[in-house]
Amino acid sequence: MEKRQGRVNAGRLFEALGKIGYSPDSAILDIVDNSVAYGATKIQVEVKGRKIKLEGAKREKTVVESFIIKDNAVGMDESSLDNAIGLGSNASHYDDKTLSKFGLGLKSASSSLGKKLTVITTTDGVHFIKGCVDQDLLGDEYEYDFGPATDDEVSEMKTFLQGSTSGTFVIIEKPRLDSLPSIGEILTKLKDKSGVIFYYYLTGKVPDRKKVTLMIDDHTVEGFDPLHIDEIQGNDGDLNESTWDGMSVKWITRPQKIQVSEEHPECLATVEITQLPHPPSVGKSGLMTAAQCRDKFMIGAGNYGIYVYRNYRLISWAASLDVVQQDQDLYSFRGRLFINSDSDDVLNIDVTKSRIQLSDLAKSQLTPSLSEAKRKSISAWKIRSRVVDDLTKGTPHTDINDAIDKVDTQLIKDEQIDEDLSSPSEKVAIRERKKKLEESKPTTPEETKKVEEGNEKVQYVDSLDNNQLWQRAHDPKLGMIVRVNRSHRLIREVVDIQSNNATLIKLLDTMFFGMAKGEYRFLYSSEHNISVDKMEGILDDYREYVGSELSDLIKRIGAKNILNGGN
Amino acid sequence: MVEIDSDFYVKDSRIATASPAIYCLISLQIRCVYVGQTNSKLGVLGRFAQHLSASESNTFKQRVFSIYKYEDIELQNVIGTYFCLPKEHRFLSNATDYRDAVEALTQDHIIPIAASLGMTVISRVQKNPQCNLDDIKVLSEIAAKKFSNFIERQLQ
Repeated sequence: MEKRQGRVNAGRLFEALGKIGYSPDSAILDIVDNSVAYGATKIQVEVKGRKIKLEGAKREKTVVESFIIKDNAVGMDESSLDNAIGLGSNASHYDDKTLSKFGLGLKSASSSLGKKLTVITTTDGVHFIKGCVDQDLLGDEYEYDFGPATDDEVSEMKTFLQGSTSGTFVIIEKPRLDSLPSIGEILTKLKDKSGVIFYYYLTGKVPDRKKVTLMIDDHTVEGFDPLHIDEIQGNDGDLNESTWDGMSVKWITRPQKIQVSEEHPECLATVEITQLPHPPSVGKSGLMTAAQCRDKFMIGAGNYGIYVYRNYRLISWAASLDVVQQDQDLYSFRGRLFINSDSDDVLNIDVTKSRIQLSDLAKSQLTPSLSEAKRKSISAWKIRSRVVDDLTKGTPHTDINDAIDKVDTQLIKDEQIDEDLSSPSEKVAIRERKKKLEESKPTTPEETKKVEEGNEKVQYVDSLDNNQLWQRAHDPKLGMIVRVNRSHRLIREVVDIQSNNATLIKLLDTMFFGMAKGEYRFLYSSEHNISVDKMEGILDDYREYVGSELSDLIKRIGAKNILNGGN
Repeated sequence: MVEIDSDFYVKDSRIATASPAIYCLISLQIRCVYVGQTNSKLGVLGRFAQHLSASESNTFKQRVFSIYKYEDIELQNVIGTYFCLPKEHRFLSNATDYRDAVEALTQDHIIPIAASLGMTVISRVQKNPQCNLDDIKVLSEIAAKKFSNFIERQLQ
């Protein structure tokens, strides 16, 4: 086989590089990446416009004239500038903290914005060099203009650098007007996104790095942590979905390590997940409106999911990672996957650094945390929605509790009449039995309050001993209540998912109350010659067995099969 | 003829009796770690045998094939240890919730330790609300400590 020289058309290749899926804001921020990677503490992005009169139109329209990204990073010498403008830069120019990956970022990002790229740079504040490539002038050969910067360019750079002796200006002209949105739209997106994307750099949280100041068109961008971790208060920071007041940020999963590659087991990523406030709850409190809460925490469609950071820079915004599906009840769910560039190859990060593909190993270590976190987040949101809803209208639980309470009050009266009609010796025996029942399983003061204030005869609790699904409790005056274990697999994997199904909820509440009432009758009016303590012990065991068997059954059948009506 | 080393050593026969436990298997050949839970009638030894067998419950083998994309491999140098859970109803029960919770938290602790030793954790766990219970957290910490000491010793 002979070797032949393949044809390369530099102009077309350069143009093609710009069509790999960049949006204008992501292209600009990819160039900002270079500034950050090379130690800038001050970066400024300018989008300049000019007026044009379209053919046939009466009024003039403002369009983009140029994009300028200025920084006070280390600057480039001749060789580095050659490498920056050349196609497929040498990897040896990048250290292990770099945000770059293939050495194509500057060329592809700039080409997606415009046809002409100019780079002016200095490493010492004395020598200013310039490289310029214009796609309109490129043919088969890849050639660019190189030389000293003009006096005006030097003067402008010196004004920007103020105290620094090195830096770079990247200027993109001849914009691709047919694919660019308005200047206002580009600037808004840049301002909204860059605070999240460079959160660690803008807040000075990158080890061994000074805080970075980023200005977008004279507006200084503040770092924005999508997880709002700094707002989590003290030791009581973990989310308890049933007691959460919806007002504060909570941990769902504290920082936890996962492995990302079986070939490089030493490569670790960190996952952490928080629950942001519930806007309707905040709105009801009067501290701020629900809308202000949504704005402050950026709560809304497209913003919930996993934020993937690579080397302290965001590369994937609110990704689902095949686990966090579209669901309004997940609006407060915020996760972060933090990785280093040593994981690039195994995570299969693309050239725009905006998409990643997790390895099977990473997925298998990440999914358990994500799935449980998702369940907690949905449950917390739903409970808060119910509470807020309660303030204005009834829910299936309140409706059925009201009905059960009415019936139970009548049953207690009937029981009292029966008791009064018994023989004196029988009466004493019944009262003793009743007292024992009440003492063996008393209600807590909180439970009693809920019955007094809300007729809650069926109360959902965080957990019950040994996986029991339900349990009786008694108040001497108000009668019996039933506790239902919210952590039981039946509730968390099947019933909670169907919480909008009012008929099911009412039916289940009635059934739990009925089963508890059956136990009570069995104990209260039993004619067996067995002590209450012994019978209580048998019933406790019975409930534990039912709880275990039900959990096992649901696990084996699969909650999805029950919910979907399959298999 | 392939010669198989037939030596066998059991330190304590309780490994073959029914008892709820969290266990850890490591393959020095593949450099992987597997964390699991069992309440098998044949004890941890019975579960260990299932993992290496051709039966459907050979999850350890299945995970090795799945993660490392092997079509077949004769596993060698597989060693393990276990941590007995209290003989309480919740751990003895058919429902695996409480054992699953200890297993999941134990794996969380083991991952960074295994990574620092160049080992990959290949088991798949399930988290549930029982993971939030304080005594489950304590049990998993003790199990993880025992397992990490074991792994470190084997690699010395």
